[in-house]
Amino acid sequence: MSGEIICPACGAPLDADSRFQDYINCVYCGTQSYVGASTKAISSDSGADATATLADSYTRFRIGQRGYIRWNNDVHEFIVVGRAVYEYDGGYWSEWYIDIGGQGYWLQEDEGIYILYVEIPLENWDVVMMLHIQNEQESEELRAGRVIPALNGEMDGWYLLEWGNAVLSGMEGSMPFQKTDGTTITYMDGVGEKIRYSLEIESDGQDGTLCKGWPLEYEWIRTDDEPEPKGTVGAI
Amino acid sequence: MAQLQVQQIECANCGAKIDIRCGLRSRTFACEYCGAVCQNDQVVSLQNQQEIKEKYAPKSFLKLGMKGHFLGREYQVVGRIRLMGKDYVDTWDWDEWFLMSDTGYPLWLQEDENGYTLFRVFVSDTFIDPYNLSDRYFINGEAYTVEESDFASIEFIEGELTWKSHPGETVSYVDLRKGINRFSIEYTTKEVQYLKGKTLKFEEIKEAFGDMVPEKAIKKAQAKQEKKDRKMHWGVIAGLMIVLGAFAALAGFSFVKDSGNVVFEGRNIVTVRRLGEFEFNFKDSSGKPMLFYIKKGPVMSFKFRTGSFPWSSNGNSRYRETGWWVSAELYKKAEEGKEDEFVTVINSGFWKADGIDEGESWYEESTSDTIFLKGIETGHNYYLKFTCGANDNVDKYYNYNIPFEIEVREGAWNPFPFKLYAFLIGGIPLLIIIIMLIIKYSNDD
Repeated sequence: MSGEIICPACGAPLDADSRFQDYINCVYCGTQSYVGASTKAISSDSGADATATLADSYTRFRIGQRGYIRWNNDVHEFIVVGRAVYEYDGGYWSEWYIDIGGQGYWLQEDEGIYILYVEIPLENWDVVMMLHIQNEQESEELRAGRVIPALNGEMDGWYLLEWGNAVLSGMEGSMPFQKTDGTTITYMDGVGEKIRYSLEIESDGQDGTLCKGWPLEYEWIRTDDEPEPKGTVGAI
Repeated sequence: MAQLQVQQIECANCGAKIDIRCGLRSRTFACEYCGAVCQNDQVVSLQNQQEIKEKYAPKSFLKLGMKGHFLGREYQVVGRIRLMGKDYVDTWDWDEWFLMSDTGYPLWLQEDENGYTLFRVFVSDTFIDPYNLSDRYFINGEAYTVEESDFASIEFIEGELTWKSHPGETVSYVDLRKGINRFSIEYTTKEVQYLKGKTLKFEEIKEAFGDMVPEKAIKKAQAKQEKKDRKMHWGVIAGLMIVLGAFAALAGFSFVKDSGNVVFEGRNIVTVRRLGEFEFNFKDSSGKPMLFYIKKGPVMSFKFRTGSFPWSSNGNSRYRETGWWVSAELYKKAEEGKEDEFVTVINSGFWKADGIDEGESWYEESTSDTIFLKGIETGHNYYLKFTCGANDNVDKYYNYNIPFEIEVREGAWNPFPFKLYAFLIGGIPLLIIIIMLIIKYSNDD
């Protein structure tokens, strides 16, 4: 993909050099655009709020940043290509879209939590619909600690650790999906045996994304511009 | 290093400009002027500012805005929650200081009467179940024991938090411990959160906050530490005494009781009568008193034991008692041609009693007695001469043959000092605790 795409709203050149690109955010006017045969603007007035949200969130990462992740018994170089920020009752969380060796991963950053996710097939739609309905009806069946049935043929049942509704409050950089700010999702995060799972349900249970993930300690991630830690008080 | 930027937000209650440091991430903030707790533009609680300032004053020098270094990075204290737990007997409270780094990594510094514990979020790759509680949990291969499982309510909030919260909210928790390492599970129906922590010494707190720790706090902490050390010192002594007490009890009632080497054993049938004493001794085949040689001191034990003996006809069904006594004269055998030396008299007695008290029948007896003698000269032969008779409260016709045994040991230990020590160390405190419990429960009634 070349870098010659023009923002349909303000005409500024858009930096579209990511192989995962599906969505792009204009750094000049905040307009969000789908990237396709003919780039099309999907929002031109939500840019200010989204930019404020993004700028206001203290984080270790930024678009274009490089760093290293210690994961899967190896050290991997990564580059940050995109970011989505979700708002929920617990605050905000960021999902950084990162490139590790040509493969796209999500790095979730949420109040001290870092989890590296990769998307996996979502097959058991009956369970997704059941969870959606239970969420809509505020059913007592839906509670943290409950076992959720497997959502594809390769996974087992998993424990629900956190669930709720969230709103996509901002995006930047290059993203592999087509969503607009204000999109509401139902999130369900949980854990299986030595693996984390994250289910996002959209469109009244008709659509969704399933990811499996690996928890990362703060120290397992190093960015290229982060200073060396000084002192050890609190090392746990 | 970048720092948390101060921004201002309007209090939804009084309109005052409030400084916040977490920007839009701040989901809950307390107005320092009117005490209102706001979630964005909604007031969720009104705290009486004057009352809370006194009631929920920080427990130490820590305050909002302080900067410290943890995990090698700079953190700022941005919020505080005062939590209270209670059970049927007691209430307790603690502060959780919310610290934020410029990279958005949060820490919680828990402060209670025992000191400080720093917590960070722990992302587990297995389910650690707080609902079906077990005594121990294995976390990353390490065994943690459950210290407490309860719920606490938020009494007070100051500063800002990056999640929605309000006074009155309750949190269920399970606290686990492994030495200075701590683990906490906080859970609601919507979330199970794991926190990993470590107890910090004041020295570490001082290192973290540096110059921001006032001299007064340092002196106070030093005094507290000295007091704690003294307490620990006394605790160690008390612990040692209790262990020794237990050992003494064991010794006194078990292995010291029959210590030493048996130097003489005798069994005989003796005549016990009310009128007139009966004299006897143990003789060898030549008719001479049986000698025993003492080579090891300093204590000798003389154990007397009676076989079963008949009841006296004195007494009635409500109360009766029968007993007899034995007196042994100890002689040191002299050389040929010289008179044997009288050493001492050893007195002992046996009794049994029964009766009916408030409709309940009872029975007690003492059929064995051990006397300890100290200072017996070693390297000599000794023998015993016995006299026995029935007690004065026995009927005058009492006249029976009764089995009698004696066992003499050299190099014995007297268990009395062990028993006394065990009683003083264990018995008296136990007695005090029982009395206190009786007083407590009688007051409750």
